[in-house]
Amino acid sequence: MDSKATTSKQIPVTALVFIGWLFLMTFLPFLIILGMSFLERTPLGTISFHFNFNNYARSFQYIYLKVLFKTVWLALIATLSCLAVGFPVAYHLARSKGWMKQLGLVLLFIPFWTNFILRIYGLVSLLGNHGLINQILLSLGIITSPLEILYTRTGVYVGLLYNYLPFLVVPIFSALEKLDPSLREAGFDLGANRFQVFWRVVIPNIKEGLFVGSLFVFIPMLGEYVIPDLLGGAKEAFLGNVMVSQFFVMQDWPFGSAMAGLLSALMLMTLWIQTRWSKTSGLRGGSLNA
Amino acid sequence: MGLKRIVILAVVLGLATSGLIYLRSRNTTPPRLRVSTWSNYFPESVIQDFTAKTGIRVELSYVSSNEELFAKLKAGATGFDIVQPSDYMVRQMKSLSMLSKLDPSLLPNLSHLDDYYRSLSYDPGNEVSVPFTWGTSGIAINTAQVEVPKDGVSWNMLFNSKYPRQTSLLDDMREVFASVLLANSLSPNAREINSLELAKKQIFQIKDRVLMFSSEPKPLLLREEVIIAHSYSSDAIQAHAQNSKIQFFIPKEGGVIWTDNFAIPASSKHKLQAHAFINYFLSPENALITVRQSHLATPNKTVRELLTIEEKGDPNIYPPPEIFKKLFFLEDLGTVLPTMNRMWTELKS
Repeated sequence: MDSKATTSKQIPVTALVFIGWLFLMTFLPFLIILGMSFLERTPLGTISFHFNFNNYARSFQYIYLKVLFKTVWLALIATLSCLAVGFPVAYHLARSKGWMKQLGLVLLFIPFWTNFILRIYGLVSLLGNHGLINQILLSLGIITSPLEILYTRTGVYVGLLYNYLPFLVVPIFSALEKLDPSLREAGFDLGANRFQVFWRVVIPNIKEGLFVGSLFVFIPMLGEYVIPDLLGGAKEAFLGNVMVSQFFVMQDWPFGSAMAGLLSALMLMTLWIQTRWSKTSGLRGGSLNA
Repeated sequence: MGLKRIVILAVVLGLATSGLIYLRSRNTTPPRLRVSTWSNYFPESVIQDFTAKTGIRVELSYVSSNEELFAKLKAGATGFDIVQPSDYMVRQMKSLSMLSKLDPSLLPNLSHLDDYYRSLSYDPGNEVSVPFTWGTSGIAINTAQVEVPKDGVSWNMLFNSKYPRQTSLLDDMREVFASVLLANSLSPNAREINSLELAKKQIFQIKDRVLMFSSEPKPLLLREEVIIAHSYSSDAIQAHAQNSKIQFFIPKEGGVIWTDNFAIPASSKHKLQAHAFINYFLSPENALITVRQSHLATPNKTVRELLTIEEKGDPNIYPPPEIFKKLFFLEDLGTVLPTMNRMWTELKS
């Protein structure tokens, strides 16, 4: 063993891998997108190295802002639905004991061992007019005509909820896990009822977990395009769909890149606000910072 | 510690170089033809036969869209010897000199091509491309559930569908605009803003009524979730093979015609072998096998003679002359294209 002084001067192999990975997989692609966004599509579908800001100007046209707001709205509603379902799941999971907890966690993630596209096609065959759900409800006489879920906005919400739920459950679960049970007991001892304990003891202590979980689902939903296409019937274009069509249909990579750049900026801003908020909200340690 | 790092670095570098050497040696030794194609297109048997007869090995790779192919070639993907662009992509690639000039003396089987396909507007005289299959865009109807009008199928069956919740449109901006324009007796390649605005208005009126936009209506037709579908002839005819009640129609107002072509990228290093490959697939016996497998229409007049009466008599695969002359290729819209894309985004926003 050498002295600590010599080892600390060298960059450890792990750091090299870490930095190399970040550079290749995050930094470099982002730089390419950024560079591309200042170029121009020629009428022949090629890219001309004529530096300009037109793509950004175009991105702020009314029609694209409308798509952006619609996308944010969709992601917001879907995130709230995820919270409504995910919070009870996480809460119950955290309070379960022993093998129940392990089993619950595993079962939550088992569907995700299947490929994403396959799971979406699974939903297509479940939700359709001739799908399992409608057929069962029809044959039981609960409904008289098939529920229109597939190829509607509702279908998109169902797909988003199904696909993102675990990413919200896990941060909340781990925040609840770290919550000292004696805090709840102290609340009861001091005369609080169940609701008061929940609202004034549990929630404030897992606030950050709730926030992080929500961001984990909200941010990727902003760029979602497969679910709107496959479950929404491609009748509505969200930001992801518009960007994808710039690359794959219009061959307008510069414009697509400008939109991607702006979306990334929006996502980073959301993260920044979250960090600022958690710093100023006077939380101690914060369950997820530990 | 220092020594350990050097050892790791050496091992990594060593593996990397030997990997590169391996890849290089793999690429140079036996000449093989790299063919970029669509999935489910070439019968394996014909390719194996080609290799057996000529000694030229073939490596297939797949693309899922013309734009993907374009991006790959443009990004400098070299090593492709044969590509299969559709008509509009041939035009685009040709104007950018991405395709190499074909040598007719190496393609004696070109003589089997129908005259129409030897003087196509996007590549007159087959300078850089040879049509391999062609098809149309029209309407697929489940005739068990929808009555086919006596005076012929019209595009209005899509837009004033009696079964809107069982109707689908292609998720393709150009195709949808073209069909609405045709329904209004306008050119599917109209560039006038008034015509496009009119089309946009009509698409807007129907887009929430129809079940969905989908470029792959085949499974929807087969599940009978959709009984009237705006469709490429290829999908509809494959669906027909599984359910004979599903029939394809070219509307009486006319339709869109498209071709898939062979072409040799300018960057190909095996142009001689690539010509041999194209010529091989133009030969009637090989083209026949391919046509029978894909159910697509052939531009090869000799092959058409070889087809059975039922095969060549299907007016929806090989439309009669009076309909054929109402088929249009989608032309390059130039600066109008971004305008149309904006309208398309507005429609869906």
